[in-house]
Amino acid sequence: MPKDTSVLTIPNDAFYLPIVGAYVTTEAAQLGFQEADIGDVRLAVDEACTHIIETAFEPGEEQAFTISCQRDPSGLKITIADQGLPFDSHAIPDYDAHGGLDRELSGLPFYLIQRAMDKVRFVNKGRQGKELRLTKYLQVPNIEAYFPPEELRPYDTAVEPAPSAKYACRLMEPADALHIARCVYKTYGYTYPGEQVYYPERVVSMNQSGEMISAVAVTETGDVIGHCALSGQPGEPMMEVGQAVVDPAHRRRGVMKGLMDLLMEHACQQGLTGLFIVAVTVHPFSQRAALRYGFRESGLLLAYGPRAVHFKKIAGQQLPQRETVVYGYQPLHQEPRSRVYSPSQHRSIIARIYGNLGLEREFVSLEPPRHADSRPSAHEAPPFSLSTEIRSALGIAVIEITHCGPGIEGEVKRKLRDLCYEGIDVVYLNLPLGDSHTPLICPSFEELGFFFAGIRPRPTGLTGPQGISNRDLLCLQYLNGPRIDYDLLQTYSDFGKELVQYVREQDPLA
Amino acid sequence: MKISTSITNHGPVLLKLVGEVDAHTVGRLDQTLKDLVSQGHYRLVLDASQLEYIASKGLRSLLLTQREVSQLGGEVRLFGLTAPVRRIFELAGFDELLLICHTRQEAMEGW
Repeated sequence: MPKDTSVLTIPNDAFYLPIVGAYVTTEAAQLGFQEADIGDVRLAVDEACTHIIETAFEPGEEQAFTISCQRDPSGLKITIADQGLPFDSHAIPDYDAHGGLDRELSGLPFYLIQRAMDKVRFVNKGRQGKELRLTKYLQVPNIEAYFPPEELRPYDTAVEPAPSAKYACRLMEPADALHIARCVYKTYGYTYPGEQVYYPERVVSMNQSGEMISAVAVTETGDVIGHCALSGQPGEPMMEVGQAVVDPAHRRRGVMKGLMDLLMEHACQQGLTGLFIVAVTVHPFSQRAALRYGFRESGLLLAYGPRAVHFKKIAGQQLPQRETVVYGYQPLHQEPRSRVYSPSQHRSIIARIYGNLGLEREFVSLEPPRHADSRPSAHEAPPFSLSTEIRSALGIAVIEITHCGPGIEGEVKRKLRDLCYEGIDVVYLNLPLGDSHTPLICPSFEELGFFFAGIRPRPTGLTGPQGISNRDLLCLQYLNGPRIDYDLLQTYSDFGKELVQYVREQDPLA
Repeated sequence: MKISTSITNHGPVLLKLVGEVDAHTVGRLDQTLKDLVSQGHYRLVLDASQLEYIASKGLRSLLLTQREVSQLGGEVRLFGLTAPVRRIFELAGFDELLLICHTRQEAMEGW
């Protein structure tokens, strides 16, 4: 077990709740959390454990479940795992914190969990149980605490180019974090998705933990004038390229190329097998840059970002609709050929996407079942497994199916209903293309209103359950309210235009 | 968790909560409040100065009692909330439901 992780196992008995409370309270205190945040952590974990004890098992059943704490410089991650009944979120009504004396209380425990923690994620694993993953970030000052307002004004729209200079690109040092945060703030204001970048201490801690790998461009006088970063989970084979900013006075001088070259080299040295990028469609410049650095389009994620993203000096200040992004991918190594099970109705575009990416895939065709009972029964087929991640700041949710199994359609339907009820604007649904059930269940999801978004390639060679060696994802999307004016989407390449056209044709509301 | 109760002839009932109210201990609080109400005590003051923690089940117990006694001309009041407990009340929006007094005197008077 890593040194930063501890695990407590308790019986499903409320007697042990104070012990759990003492455990997580001490972990949080050791990390340096303030008293109020320690109380929040204790409250969230206590409510979650109480719920498991009372609802996850049959009456009289004696079982154990675990609470684990993983600490890192940015805060505390707590996972509560049990092998009891699946979490049935649709049975829990909303809680109105401003309701009167007659307010419904059954939603209060989960309301408190959501309010007390910074991130909450439910992972249902079918018969293998479930996990509740909670994250609490250490409170650190944001960029506004470090600079007076005049030093945080947006970059000048009519800036004169700086005198010619030499730039050095290197990996970030802790002292750079302030300037990185300021660069992003002066470019985007507070609208950049991924708020961690506005907290210099978190930028440092995330670089230390490996969740972020930042590269900076500095002048001869040591001024930080550009930044770009890889971000993701340490140990994962893929990372996202983003947070790319260059001071306008120093643009068009190859600064971003220098940063990208450095990060690509570092990614290869670290053994990463692929990189991905999301490029906005409010203008084509990010896509152009992505193509220049070897990324190729594989999907169009509609309404991915909120409307309030501003781009200083590039486009208009207020977006007319939620921001749609192009998803791009780049393999860092030659990938072996692998099998994919594509829904027949999308086979042509999926094949073209793979061709665009330069990835070799063997398409396996399955005959659809002639009779409803020709599919494996619930006793024969392995259980389904999926996870749901809600990104409240963006107003989106991602449901990822790890393994298809009996009941998956109903589970996704319930989750979609809950997410829409919570006001999530867009729900993305990822299906495993290496799973032979995907073509069989895809139509069910499309009947719910999901439609094609694209492909998310993932490095091959990884084996999941039952020896599946392809882990690419078919991405579908569901718009809960936003309507897309496709004429406003700007793409750079011909393939990008083709992708937009296909998605538009699939959109039931277009 | 410990609960001590002071009943006077004309004033409200004073309950002192010591320790934590969670799923394991809330039964005692439930029963105490239920007994008091059934005995005709509708004016209830909770001394929370030594209450270290309260879970949603404890909040529920207080709310259900407040619902009942308010229809009978009574009220549940609290005083002495520590910062952590006050935060839980605020997170749940219970600071809008129950009268939280600054002092014992304020809670015991003005009925």
